[in-house]
Amino acid sequence: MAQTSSPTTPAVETAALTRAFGATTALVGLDLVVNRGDLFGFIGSNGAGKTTTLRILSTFLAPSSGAARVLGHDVVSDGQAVRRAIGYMPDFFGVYKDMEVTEYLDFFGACYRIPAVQRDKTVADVLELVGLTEKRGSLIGALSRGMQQRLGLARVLIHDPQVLLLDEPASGLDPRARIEMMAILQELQRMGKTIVISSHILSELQTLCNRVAIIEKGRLIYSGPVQGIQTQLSSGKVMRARVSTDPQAAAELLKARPEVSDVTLVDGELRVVLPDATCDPALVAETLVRGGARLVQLREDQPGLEEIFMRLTRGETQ
Amino acid sequence: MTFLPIVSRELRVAARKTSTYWFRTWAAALVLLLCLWIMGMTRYQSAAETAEVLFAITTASAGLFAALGGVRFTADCLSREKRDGTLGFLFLTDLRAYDIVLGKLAAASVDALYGILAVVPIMALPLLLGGVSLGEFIRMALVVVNTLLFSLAAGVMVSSMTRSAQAGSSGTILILLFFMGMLPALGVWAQSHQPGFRIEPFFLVSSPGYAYFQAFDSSYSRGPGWFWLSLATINALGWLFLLIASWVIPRAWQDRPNGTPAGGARSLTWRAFMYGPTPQAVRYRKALLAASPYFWLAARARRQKHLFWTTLAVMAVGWLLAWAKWKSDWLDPVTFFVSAGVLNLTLRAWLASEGSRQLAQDRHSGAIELLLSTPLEPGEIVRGQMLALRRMFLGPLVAVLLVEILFLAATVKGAVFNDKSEMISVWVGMMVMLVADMAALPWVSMWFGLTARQPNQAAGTSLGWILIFPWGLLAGVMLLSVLGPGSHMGFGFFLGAWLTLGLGTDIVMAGWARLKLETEFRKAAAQRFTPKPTLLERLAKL
Repeated sequence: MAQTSSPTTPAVETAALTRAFGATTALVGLDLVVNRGDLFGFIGSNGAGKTTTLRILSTFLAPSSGAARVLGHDVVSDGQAVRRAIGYMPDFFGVYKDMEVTEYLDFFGACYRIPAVQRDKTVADVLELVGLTEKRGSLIGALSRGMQQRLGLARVLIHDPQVLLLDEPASGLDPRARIEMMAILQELQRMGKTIVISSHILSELQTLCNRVAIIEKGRLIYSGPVQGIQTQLSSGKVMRARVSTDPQAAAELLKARPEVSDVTLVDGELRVVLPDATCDPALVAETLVRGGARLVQLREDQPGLEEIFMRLTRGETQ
Repeated sequence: MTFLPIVSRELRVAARKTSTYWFRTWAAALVLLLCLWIMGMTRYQSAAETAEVLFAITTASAGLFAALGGVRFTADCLSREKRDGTLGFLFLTDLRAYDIVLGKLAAASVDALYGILAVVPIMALPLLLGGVSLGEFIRMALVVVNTLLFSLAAGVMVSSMTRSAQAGSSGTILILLFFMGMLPALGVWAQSHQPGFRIEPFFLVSSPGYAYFQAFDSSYSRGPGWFWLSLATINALGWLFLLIASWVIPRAWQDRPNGTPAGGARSLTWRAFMYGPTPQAVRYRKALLAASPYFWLAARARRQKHLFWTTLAVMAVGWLLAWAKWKSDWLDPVTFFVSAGVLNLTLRAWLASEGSRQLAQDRHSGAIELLLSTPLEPGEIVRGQMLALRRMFLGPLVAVLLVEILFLAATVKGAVFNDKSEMISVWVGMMVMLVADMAALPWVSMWFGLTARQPNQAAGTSLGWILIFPWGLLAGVMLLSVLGPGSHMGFGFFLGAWLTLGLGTDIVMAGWARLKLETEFRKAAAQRFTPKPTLLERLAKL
């Protein structure tokens, strides 16, 4: 049931997707939609089902039941169209360590049926994009882990796919390599690619992705915009205030207000909990100023993706 | 403190694996079947004669199994850890090199040792029939266990020096061949010009084959010292191999700094030799990629083909030197037949190894997942691998067939047999079987390469099905013909049975493997992510 790919067709879509390995069910009725142009974060504990989902989307694994489509192409009945449309980077990918960088990309270019006359230029272009031009003649086995990851990304891009499926692309990378990798991904999104990325580094996904999905024990817990989940989970408001006067006295002032449920002092900063989400946060400033405290900073504290993940999940795996 | 902590850990791990017990059961069952076959074949002979044949064949089988133990069980035990980068973790603890070497030996050899222990009681069956003495049995049991230690230790030593599974297996085979075949052959060579031809025992004592023959009462009674000397030499060699491995492994486990390829400068030189100068390598790559991407992947080491031709050339030079030495004595039908057999076996073994190598490595490393996420279809992968095999083996196959035609012509010319047609039939049958096996092995080895748990097991499994299985069937046919009421099958029947069973096995196995490759390639490639079904589950599926 191959569908034609119209501009409104989601980049990735799964419906009741289920995959069992013997007695273990890795995915249970997963319904997921990734829109075109999304930089989509796929979050879950080890064994939650992220890699299985990406393997099904890459057509490497067949689903036990349900459906998965990439740009409208069914992964089972129209696998070849899916493979042409995606660039897949597994979490653990075997590189041919005895190959040179250009040989490796030339080989995969041929696998993607790029004509021989175009391949040299394409290889040079993707090497430049990932910053590996100087290493074009190096043996892959001699590259650092970060460079090998970048080479993996270059391989993914060799045929200019519309959808990138990246499983833990930043795992094992040092902070500089991670930041460089994330910058490349943002650039790719600007170029119009849809990117599905699974990662454990949630703080980076928070700034990088516009939409996320959280999966646990093979089941989808949340899927939507990052902002949406923050709002959804905020039962009330949390304010952070810094004063130049005695913080203990300031805390006592706030605790006296009936609108405030809790005040704690964290690293010299006051964490003020307002249980009513409609409550005007200006009351914190007003209370402190009227009480004689010198307010130097006041901001609303949004829960981070890590905190949300910890709240939503219990770390259960299949 | 626990003595040899890795040994105790590995033994506990082995005790939890069901395969440990199944292997023992299968080994005992196979030898029991062999015994029944021999007893059936010799039913018209006396009990003592039957016992002698039974003893000789069961002990030879156990000895052969023990001698090949190193190739099967230990040749990749340390090299695999090096490839996976896990060997270093052991050295970060207080463990000593000998702890690790003996631990790996224990882990890799527990199946083999249990197999031998299951077979030894069956070797004692001839004692009940008479014709075999208790001393003979005890000596033979010692030889088999000693041979196992020797072979396993050789595998551990080679594995400590190599990184690839293929190099480990080839190196172990070479070491075993050196002590079991080349050294005795050198003895024959060195002494052949002496009057009253007698091989110097120095060349023989390190060969398990010599210890085996000396263990029989008839040889032992003539000089018991040689038996014990041979046994002690082989045992000492085994421990020497382990010592060498313990010395090498602390110097070979560390990861290399970035910028250094696997194997350092030596590896770079080897790569430059195997791949050729860069402009030629680029032209070669472009040409092969145009034909099929996987063709290039499997055949990218251009000189691999030349390596095989070199091996054949070395064998030819050895053969010609022997001819120069022994002149017309060397030009004997037996020499021709054995030479052809060695050539055929080399060709088949190399093909089985090459046919399974790339797919097994790709599956083991995870690269197959990348390949299958591209538009490259499984059929194109198989076609590319076939092209690579054809490129490497078609020339040598034709050359070997031409040599065998020469051997056949020489045999016919100098024949003293009455019936030349029988001789010609056997030679032609052998050549037909070679061609059929060479046509079947690529399919079978590719399939086993894709599905074997360890890369170096695929070639052995393929050879087992294509070479050994038909002989097992033929043995069954022979038994039935002997047990049949008053039946007497002649040469023609056995030649026909041999060809039918051999060709039948080739056709069935190649067809089965091809069907699997065409229909279940993706499923098999993803298998490492799927738990293997239990025996009960597989039976239920049937």
